[in-house]
Amino acid sequence: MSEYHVASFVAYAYPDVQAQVIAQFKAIESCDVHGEDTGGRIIVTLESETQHGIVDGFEQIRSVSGVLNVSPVYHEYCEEAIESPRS
Amino acid sequence: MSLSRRAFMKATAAASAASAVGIVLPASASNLITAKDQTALKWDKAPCRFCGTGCSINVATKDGKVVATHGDMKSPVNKGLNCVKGYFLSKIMYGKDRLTSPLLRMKNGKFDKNGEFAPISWDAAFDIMAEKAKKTLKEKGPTGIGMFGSGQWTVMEGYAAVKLMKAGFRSNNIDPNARHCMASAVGGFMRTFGIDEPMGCYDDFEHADAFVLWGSNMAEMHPILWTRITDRRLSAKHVKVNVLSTYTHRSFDLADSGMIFTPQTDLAILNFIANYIIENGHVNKEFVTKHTNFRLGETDIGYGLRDEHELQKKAANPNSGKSTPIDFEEYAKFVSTYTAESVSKLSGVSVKKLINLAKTYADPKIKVMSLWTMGFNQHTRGVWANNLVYNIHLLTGKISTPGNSPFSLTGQPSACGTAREVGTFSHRLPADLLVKKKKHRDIAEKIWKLPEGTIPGKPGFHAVEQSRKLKDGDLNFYWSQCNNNMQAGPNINEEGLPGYRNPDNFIVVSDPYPTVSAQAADLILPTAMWVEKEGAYGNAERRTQTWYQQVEAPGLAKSDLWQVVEFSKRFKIEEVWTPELLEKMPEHKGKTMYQVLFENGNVNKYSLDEVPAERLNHDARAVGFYLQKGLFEEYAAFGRGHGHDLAPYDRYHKERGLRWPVVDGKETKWRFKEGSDPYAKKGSDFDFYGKKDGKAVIFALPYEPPAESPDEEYNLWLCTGRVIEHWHTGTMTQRVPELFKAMPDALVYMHPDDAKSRNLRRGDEVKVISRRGEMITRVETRGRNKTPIGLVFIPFFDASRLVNKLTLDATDPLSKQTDFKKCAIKIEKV
Amino acid sequence: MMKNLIIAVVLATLSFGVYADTVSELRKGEIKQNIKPQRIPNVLNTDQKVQRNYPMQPPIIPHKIRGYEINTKVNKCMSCHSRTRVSESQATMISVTHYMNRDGNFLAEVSPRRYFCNQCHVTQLDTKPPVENMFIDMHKLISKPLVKE
Repeated sequence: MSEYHVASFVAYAYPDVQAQVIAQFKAIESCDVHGEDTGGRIIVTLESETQHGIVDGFEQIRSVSGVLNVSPVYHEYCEEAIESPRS
Repeated sequence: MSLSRRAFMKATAAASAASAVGIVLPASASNLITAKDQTALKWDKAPCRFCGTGCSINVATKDGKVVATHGDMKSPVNKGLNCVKGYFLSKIMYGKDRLTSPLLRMKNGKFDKNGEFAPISWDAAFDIMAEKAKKTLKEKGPTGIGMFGSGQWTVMEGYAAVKLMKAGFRSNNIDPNARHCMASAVGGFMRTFGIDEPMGCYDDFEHADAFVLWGSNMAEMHPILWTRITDRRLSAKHVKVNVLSTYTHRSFDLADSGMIFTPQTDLAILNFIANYIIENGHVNKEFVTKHTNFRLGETDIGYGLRDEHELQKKAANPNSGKSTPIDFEEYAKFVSTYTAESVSKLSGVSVKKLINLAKTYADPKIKVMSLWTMGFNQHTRGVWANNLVYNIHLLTGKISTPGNSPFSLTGQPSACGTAREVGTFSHRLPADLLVKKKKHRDIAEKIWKLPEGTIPGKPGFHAVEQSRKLKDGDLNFYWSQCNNNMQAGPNINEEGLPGYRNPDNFIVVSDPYPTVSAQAADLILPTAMWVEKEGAYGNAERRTQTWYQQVEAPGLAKSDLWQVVEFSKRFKIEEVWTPELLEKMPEHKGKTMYQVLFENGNVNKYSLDEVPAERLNHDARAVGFYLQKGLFEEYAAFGRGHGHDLAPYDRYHKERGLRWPVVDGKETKWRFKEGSDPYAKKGSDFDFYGKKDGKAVIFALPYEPPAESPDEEYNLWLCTGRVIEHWHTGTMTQRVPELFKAMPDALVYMHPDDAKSRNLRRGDEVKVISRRGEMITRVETRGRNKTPIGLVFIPFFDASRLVNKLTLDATDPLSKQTDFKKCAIKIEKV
Repeated sequence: MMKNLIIAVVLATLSFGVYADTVSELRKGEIKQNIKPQRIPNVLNTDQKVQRNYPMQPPIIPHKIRGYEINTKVNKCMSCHSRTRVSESQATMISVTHYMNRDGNFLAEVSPRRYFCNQCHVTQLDTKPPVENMFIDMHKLISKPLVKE
């Protein structure tokens, strides 16, 4: 039985490079971008089968150029097999 | 796992992050395939059902059930946090033995006090209630009827009950369980300030430089406020936390100075601090001269026991609250006998710690917040203790400004909002009015559109007195709502239980679950809980919060409000009012009590159109008008313009509560201070407008010993109280498996040496015995509560281990509040 | 529908269970009686995560905590559960929500308002609750097939 973790974050990017930051986020496999505002704040989620995977993804997001800060908000996990593949 | 579950989790995660920073997520942005109807949860706000902190909660419902709750991030009280009880709110309504039908003791199809409970209809329930009430009215008059309500009633429920009893039945025998909880605090406020409720607010937590906990265990009893103290203490190096108690508990974990004192000697310590302030020249002379008066209180006032009791006969001035004016010099002389050495000897606290504590108050640069609950209030000199702690804040002028705050913490979620503000007491009316003042009765009668003289002027029976009158057979029809007094009230064997089982009495208990009180009753009525009805609560910092009904109550369960309103329909006004009274307002002739009280043009003023169509609101739909709004607005008329201003009802549904007085749409944070309180007169700086001359009172009051101290035979102090996992008698929390399993049984917490000297070990089965009864439990010597030698602690949440069989029904003679913290017991191995 | 079924079950149980003197299900006996107390149960020490009832519920502590102190000098829980210690201890990391302060700003360290773990997290004793709870997990409600109008 494996685990499924999902966590959400508010990423703060320099507003003038916001679009590029979002593009970089989308390129990260476990990352989804859900929304943004005009002031550089971006809502993202990470998914992983392990807690470590979340922490790694967190580090990846943080190191994208143009990102000022990433704040974790929510983290949930459960123990069940993931049946369907990511679409 | 199905895709929809994973997608749901991800959507929830994204929504949380977005709402944390106020970003609106576009519906299509998440690229998720979700069946929106399936995953949609309906979120709405409500206050927490538990303590007086009054956290705000977001409640999620789906398919008519509560499925999750979350601390409301937007609420200034808790900013997204809950305590462990709050986190399990979604389970409290779903215990399997939830009452869903009225139950009456019957034999051969008829009521019989020794019969067994059988389900009956609401109609049949009201039939027998009306029959019994009318019989009592005929035989004894209005003084034979009584009602025991609650600081957990909604504002509307308390208000409707007050009208039913005082205006309908014309009886002042209505008292709330808040009598056991906050009456001494109220007494303290009225004597010192002339008006009830704290002058500070929770904002003080973020401003204070020092905190002093006087006998309160905030870590377990006001956990979210404790997190605010923890936050302040761990974020600012200079902040100090002082904790005083009769035993070591969890709040000591954050203490810079922890002090254990002998029970009742808190009075002496308070007087010592006043003495220290004076002797070391730290009196704020300007403040004291401009804003205070001094008075000497009458002493030797007894212990609120039955008049025949030895201690009452010995008292020189039983129940006396009298006082005479004195000046500052006489006051200074009075407290001068409370020296560090003598108080240290009496209390057991070291001279060094006492002086450090006194310095905290004396140093004008330190903003100090004093916090107390049941340690001071459930005390045979509880009103005095409240007066004395105000003394030290008044002598130094440390009051009504951010961080300088004597803060009386409230225990129950609406002891303030309902019991105190609505006046559900035997001696009160709404907005601090008193039944014994004709002027005040006139005001109520005018608002209620009643003939002059309807409301009786003599105060009725208070909580402990009600138990005694039931036992003596003077009170014969009794309705208990939203409390569990058979478990929570003192001296069960001698007073509580005989009263309920007295064959002359008919006892009705409204409860959501079968409790010990229900077990002792004659008729049980199933009650709707929390978000199964629309309501309003008022917390410890004067914050009134409302909530909508979000789910339906199970089976035939109905709210206390519906029960009171429906019951009033069973009486013609001629059956409860005298012909002379009715002659004064003949337009009421032929009406039912319901029509006079609830269809009076005020309560039925707002139509159902004002109830949003998608809202359940069973109670309003049952009567055909917006009942809750009508009750609230009629009630608010008492306080508006008199320092108790509430905002319009509709506004509360939009806010996370507002702190009264709400004047010109603005809430008040600090009362009595010019600039912050709209009622403080211009140029006054501080205006204690509860008193005619605007001055607060500093009282000279001494230490007096407790009612029952340990002796040769009963050689241990018994202190009772709560634990964080359970609320009061555990009716709700013991039915949540996680909370039950966290703390299943009430143990006796004792010092290992006390156990050893009685040949006891941890886990042993023991009998705990007082002069009034005995209880069996098991010994705990390494629990969270570390008692000193000579004192034990037993919590009262456990229906199987009724600690109140042991307690003494001694009260503060002024507030009539029971002292649950001190009596004498012995422990034997079983 | 689930709701009606539950109501029916409760009513049925009630009509059988409430006769005679044991109305109070938490108290199996007359009020005058003193009931024999069970032995103090042990704390469940399985180290296995307990399923939460809904996402925001603070997880149950699945191990003994005797002697674990939290005060101004030490926070024993953090010696295994802090972000920097979990790789060694293999304990669950404290939730990221614990890094947010009162005003909604995020901190590098755990917020002091979260310092006393035991205000939200409790252990479980090895004992059976006397009353069952009929709370339904939202996922059970969601996984029901949609009934189309």
